[in-house]
Amino acid sequence: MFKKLICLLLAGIMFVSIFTACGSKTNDSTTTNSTNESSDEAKSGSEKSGSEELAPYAISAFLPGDTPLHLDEVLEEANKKLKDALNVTLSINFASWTDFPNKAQVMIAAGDETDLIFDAPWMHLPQMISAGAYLDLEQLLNEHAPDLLKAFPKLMIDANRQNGKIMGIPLGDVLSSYHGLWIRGDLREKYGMPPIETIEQYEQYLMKVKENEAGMIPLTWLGNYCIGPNGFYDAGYDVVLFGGNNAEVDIFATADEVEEIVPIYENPHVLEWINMVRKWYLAGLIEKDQMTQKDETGAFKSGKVASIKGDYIVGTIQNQIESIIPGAKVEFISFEGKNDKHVTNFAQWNFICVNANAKDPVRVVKFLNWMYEDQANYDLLRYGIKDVHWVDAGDKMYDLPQGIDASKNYNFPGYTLMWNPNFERTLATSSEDDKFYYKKLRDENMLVPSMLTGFTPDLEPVKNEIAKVSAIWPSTMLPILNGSVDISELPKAQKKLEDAGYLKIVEEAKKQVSEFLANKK
Amino acid sequence: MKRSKILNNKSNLVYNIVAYSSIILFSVFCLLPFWLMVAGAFTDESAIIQNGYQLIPKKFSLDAFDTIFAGNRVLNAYKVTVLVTIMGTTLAMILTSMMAYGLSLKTIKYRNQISFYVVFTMLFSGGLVPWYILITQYLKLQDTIWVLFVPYLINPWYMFLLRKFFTTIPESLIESAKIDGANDFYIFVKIALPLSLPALATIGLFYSLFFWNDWWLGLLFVNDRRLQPLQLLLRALVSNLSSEVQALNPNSKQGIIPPAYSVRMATSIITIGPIVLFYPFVQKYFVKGLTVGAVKG
Amino acid sequence: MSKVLCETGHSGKKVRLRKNGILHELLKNKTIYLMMLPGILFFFIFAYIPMVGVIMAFKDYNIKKGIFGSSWNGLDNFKFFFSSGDAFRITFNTVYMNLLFLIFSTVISVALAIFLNGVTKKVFKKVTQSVMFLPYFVSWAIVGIITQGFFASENGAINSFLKSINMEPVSWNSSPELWPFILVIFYLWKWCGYNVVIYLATITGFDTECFEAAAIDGASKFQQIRYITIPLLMPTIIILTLLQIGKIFYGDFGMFYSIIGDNGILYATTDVIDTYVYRALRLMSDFGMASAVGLYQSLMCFVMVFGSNLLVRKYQSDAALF
Repeated sequence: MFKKLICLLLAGIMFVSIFTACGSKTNDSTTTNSTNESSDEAKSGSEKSGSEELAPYAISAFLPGDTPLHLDEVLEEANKKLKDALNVTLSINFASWTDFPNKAQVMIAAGDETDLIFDAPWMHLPQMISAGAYLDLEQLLNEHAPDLLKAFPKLMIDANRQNGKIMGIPLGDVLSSYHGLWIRGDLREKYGMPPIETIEQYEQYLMKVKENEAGMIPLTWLGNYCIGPNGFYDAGYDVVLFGGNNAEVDIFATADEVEEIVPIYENPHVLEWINMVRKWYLAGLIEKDQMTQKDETGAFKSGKVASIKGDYIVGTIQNQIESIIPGAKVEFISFEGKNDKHVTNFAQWNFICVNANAKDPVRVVKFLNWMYEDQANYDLLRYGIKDVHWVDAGDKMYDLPQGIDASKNYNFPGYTLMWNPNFERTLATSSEDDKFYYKKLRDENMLVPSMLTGFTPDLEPVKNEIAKVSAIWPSTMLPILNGSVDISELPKAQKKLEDAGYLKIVEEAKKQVSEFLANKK
Repeated sequence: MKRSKILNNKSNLVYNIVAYSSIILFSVFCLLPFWLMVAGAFTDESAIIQNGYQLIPKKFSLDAFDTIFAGNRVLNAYKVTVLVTIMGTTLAMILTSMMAYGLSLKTIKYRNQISFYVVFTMLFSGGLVPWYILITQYLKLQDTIWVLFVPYLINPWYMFLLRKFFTTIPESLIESAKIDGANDFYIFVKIALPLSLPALATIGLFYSLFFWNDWWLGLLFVNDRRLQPLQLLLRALVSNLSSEVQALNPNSKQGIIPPAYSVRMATSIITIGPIVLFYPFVQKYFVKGLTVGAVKG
Repeated sequence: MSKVLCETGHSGKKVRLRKNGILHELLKNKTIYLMMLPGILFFFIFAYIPMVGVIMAFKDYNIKKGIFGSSWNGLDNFKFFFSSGDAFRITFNTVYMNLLFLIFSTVISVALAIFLNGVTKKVFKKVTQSVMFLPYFVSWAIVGIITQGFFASENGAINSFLKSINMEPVSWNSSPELWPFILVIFYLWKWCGYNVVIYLATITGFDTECFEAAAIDGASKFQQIRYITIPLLMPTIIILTLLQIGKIFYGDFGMFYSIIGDNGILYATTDVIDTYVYRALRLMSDFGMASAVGLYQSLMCFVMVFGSNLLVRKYQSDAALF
């Protein structure tokens, strides 16, 4: 009886599969047809001359994060402008950070037509590109987005190409990231020390903390990574980690040369760091259980730690720490000269991409362009309605209107849709240091492109080696890099890494870099 | 004889001590997390950062609830969830009980085949992507209220639970009704359902709990913010406040960071609240319904 | 209840002197079949149609080409999964965790049910029973939040307590060996009340004469439990256990994902099939492999469910699922 039934079921499934197969095929062809038609229409429309003649179009964007408060009010306002300019309406959907990657994937895999989708190299940008999920924007931008191309420095666009193509608009409020540390300025002053500029001074600060603050840990960082390339051994260099965090080959580049690529355990910069960090560890300057640290910021905020890895913008952490420890002061320090030019590859972390299934890519690109057509357009989406959600504080700065509670105000996550170094404003109440770094990192003249600008590692050929090395990295190399295991263990670690295929990753890095440099010339 | 009685009394006393203390201990164990939730929700954020979660709040604060109720989103999500729970549970009960009743009748020749047809779906599924394509592209259900409950209308486990209960209805009752000229639907409505109130109440509670707690359908198929169910909204609130996300979020440099730790607890409270309040109303049916369905004693 | 059982148990075997045709049967019971039709359609649409997608497990899935357009790659997806060494680990974790859950929750729920049965104060019985049932209502997402509340290294309640009595805090989040037990604790918390209700109702249904006779003969409470209650309860325990074993290859995704989340350090002991599939999709965008692993799980489940159902049917035919 069951046999019969199973036969029946199978027959049913086959029937269904034939049915749906046909269905999807016809469906596919109709959508492609309509895409062609509509983009043709759009093209011919724009050629004819006016936006007035364009058919109405609804642009949808899908971004990670929490829906900003008051978004509907702002969108209503923006849509009035957009209707006049391009005859489009904009809608934005959000999914929480936890859920976004998965939902975006399912949507893309299922052929959803949402026009704009956020993606990032640390999310699944490379995989999605190789799966054909996003459009190459080169031509579209050249034809339809003159203002956008003006707003983004050419260097920023070019440095963030994926395999030579513009697969997304790189989003950044500055042109380059900048590494350094946070210390407690109030403690430094207490010890009568000058502002910290060198590693020697920093070491002294850590020692002073150890001597004077009972129960306070001088320095810690997240257990799963090495703090070395955070100003300690990379100051003055652009360091590209080929192979990702747990199978890395550190490539050191400056404006005019790329240093020889060697395994991490032979790299002179890294070896110097290992010796120093071991010394610090033995001297008790580093948390004993650093390798299990999960929440460095929390530990810093509650006054348990005197220094952690820090962002160049101190921002709100200052207020938070003050509300917990009265009188506490957070200071950003870096071992690069504050006024020296910064060597960088101009890589950005976040991208807004155009879905390959978007019905009218031309209009979508025109919308992207619209945001940079006028500072007012950018401001509206980014900061909200002027004088309601924000006020112009002059000199590319903004402030909150009086009596507005920041936690209940419109606060759009700009880095998921529009961030641009030339259009982004600085909060007027920022500290002088914060303002300084914003200015410096938005100024092309203060930045020097490294030889590796535009280089994107392609990890596909060494995928398996990376998987194997990553599996043993935390138990072999990482403890040495973080000082909790003596350097005499290095040969053992080296052996294990080599057995896992680490040298293949090094060879691949060499190959790709030399190809890149050859092409550059 | 006497001695053994005394011995027995002693051992019975030991038994009573063991029994009562383990019941009380386990009850406290069950309540403890609820207490932590309440305490955490009403504690000031900075106190949590400094001292961690504590069972007795050191610094009382309502900030967490302030953050959650900023805007009318939570209220709106509540409405959606209540609507979905009511509509979903009602429809699910109708479909489930009709099918379960049919499968419980011994006079239905193909009941085993149909049961297998259902069991098969519990074991094999086509996976997420085909399901998503079906619902969005063929059924076009996305961004409608229907999508929040229709894909889950019959839960096979609950259906079989109910079928089990229906099989305990004496066949003679059904047959005599048939002789009196009642048709099958009439018997189902007038005899089978009233006799199965405990099971219906139990499964009704299961379904409402299921619809109440679901965020998956909302996540996949709802983009329209006005249709966001409560659990999804709260999930978003909580996940976006986690420290890893904050670290990722360059916006927090300039904006403000809302109280994350206490908000988590406060959100938990407002989601559990209503469903817990609902329980006493069905409790009296509950024990019976659950027992008969699961195992016939 | 048992009376009802007797009446229904054996009446289904009446000899029917009718034709065997499908149409005839459908017409004869048309009302019933019409009542079942919505359900049958529901499963056809929402379960059977998407099943076509199973073919993804044998394809090199490409987003642009879609399910049907992607090229076949035979068993490559399975090969990758089994050769990566993950297959054994996650299968082991799934089965091991489910066994832990099963053993602990059965022992504790049975004990509590027996204890509660002996309680004479009605109010106490009712209140404690309700309290134990309360956690059943809490969704896993919230259990995850509560877990962090207790076990977070920096500000969890337990570490706060340890620090307040000057003891070394425990770094929970980097100790994979502890998590199976933490998961068991939360499993017990959520499910025990539910199981207690079932066992308690079974015990209340027992004939009290046995116990009275035993008490007169001088049997202590412990002896009564050992020699009367537990043997009488055995059938129920066995049935419930078998039903659970049927589901042993299902890792409760909601539970594991909400509590463990993306904490890679804990994967060694807590990564189950369901969470693995989820990550295969999310991190590697590997739709083919996710499908393959899902299919593997389905097959294992199929075997287990049918096996246990067969046993249940042998043991107590009308407790069987189908």
